[in-house]
Amino acid sequence: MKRFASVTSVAYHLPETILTNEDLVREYPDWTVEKIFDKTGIRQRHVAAEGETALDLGEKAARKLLERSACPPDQIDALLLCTQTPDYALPPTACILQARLGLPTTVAAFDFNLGCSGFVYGLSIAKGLIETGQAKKCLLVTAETYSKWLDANDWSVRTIFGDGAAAALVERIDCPDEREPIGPFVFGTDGSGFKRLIVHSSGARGIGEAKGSLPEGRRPDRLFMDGAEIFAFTTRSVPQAVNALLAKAGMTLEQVDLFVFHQANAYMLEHLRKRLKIPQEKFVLAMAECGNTVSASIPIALKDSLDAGVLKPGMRIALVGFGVGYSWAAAILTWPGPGVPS
Amino acid sequence: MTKQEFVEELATILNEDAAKLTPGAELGWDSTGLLGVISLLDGELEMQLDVDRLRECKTVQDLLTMVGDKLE
Repeated sequence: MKRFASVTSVAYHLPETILTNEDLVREYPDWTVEKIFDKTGIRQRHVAAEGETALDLGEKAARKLLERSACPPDQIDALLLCTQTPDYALPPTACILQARLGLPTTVAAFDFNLGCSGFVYGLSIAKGLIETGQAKKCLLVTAETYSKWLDANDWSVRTIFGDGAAAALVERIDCPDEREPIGPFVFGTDGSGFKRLIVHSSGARGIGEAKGSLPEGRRPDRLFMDGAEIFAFTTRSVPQAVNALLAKAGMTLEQVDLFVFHQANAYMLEHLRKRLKIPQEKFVLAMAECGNTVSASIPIALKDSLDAGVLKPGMRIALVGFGVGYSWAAAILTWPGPGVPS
Repeated sequence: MTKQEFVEELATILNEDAAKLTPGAELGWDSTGLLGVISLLDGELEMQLDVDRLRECKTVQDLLTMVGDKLE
């Protein structure tokens, strides 16, 4: 028997307020409901209310998870929280969440700042903590409210991003075979693209490099996205990352049961799917009802796939996160089931 | 992909008449055009590039020069 880390449960929570394509068309009469859906694959997004934050959404997702997996809060020994919309620059959101959830004060808790690659990174950190004997049960929360950063007049981002939070339980299991339930991983970073997806005045540098160079009408405290270059970045990095992951795992594309990519938008994902020659039935699209929820998008897609019966026990899934940074990460995840006891 | 096929694909992406896309024709980039051309270059020609290089292409000829020997 070997001790491995495994994802045993996943849950998510979306805020109540919904922004539909119909709502958007009322503000941008040049567009139609169908045209927005054709371009993005998104019908609606959930938007956090004023005063409702990633912490609030993360708390609700975590409570659902703990309830459903019948895991008492006092058994959690590590809390990993990924967000780019923390309640405060300091203290860390994870510390506040520890108190709210009633996790023991012996828990390890910290935030990490990543976007669309965050969930895969979180799995890597949790695996590291568990397989080196530092933790037994990790609560991984990815919670995001990009709506707080969006300019109401910026159509290109308002059609895409939605708020949401997901929670995953990663725990130690005794595995009869040598196949690790999480891994291998591949990572990638290219900080030369940092200005392509950025909120300029969100940190200690203030307006920083945007001073004097922001296009007319652009607010430095709102999200700037160079959509075309982000798309070009994914064509440069994602196919390579997938091929590197398969090589590292000693797998062929056919041996992967399901591909769950970061749910950026349908146009981008459909291009990547075709480019990699992934059959449609193995490729998850889960952004229609919630939009691009950044680091929460992969676990949301996993949960929706589970509920729809698409994701079945024992399946080997390729997870691929990519975006802001630029940062990307990919991993093979085996869902617990026959041969992989939880 | 031949030069002719490339220009025809480009015409579809830009919603233009292919006959009007002479080498000297000017390219007006909008986001749909950029996304379409990136998709074409990556998907058909396996050519990945920085979008700034694409934005610098002012004419059809600039684009053909950039694509270069990727076309038959």
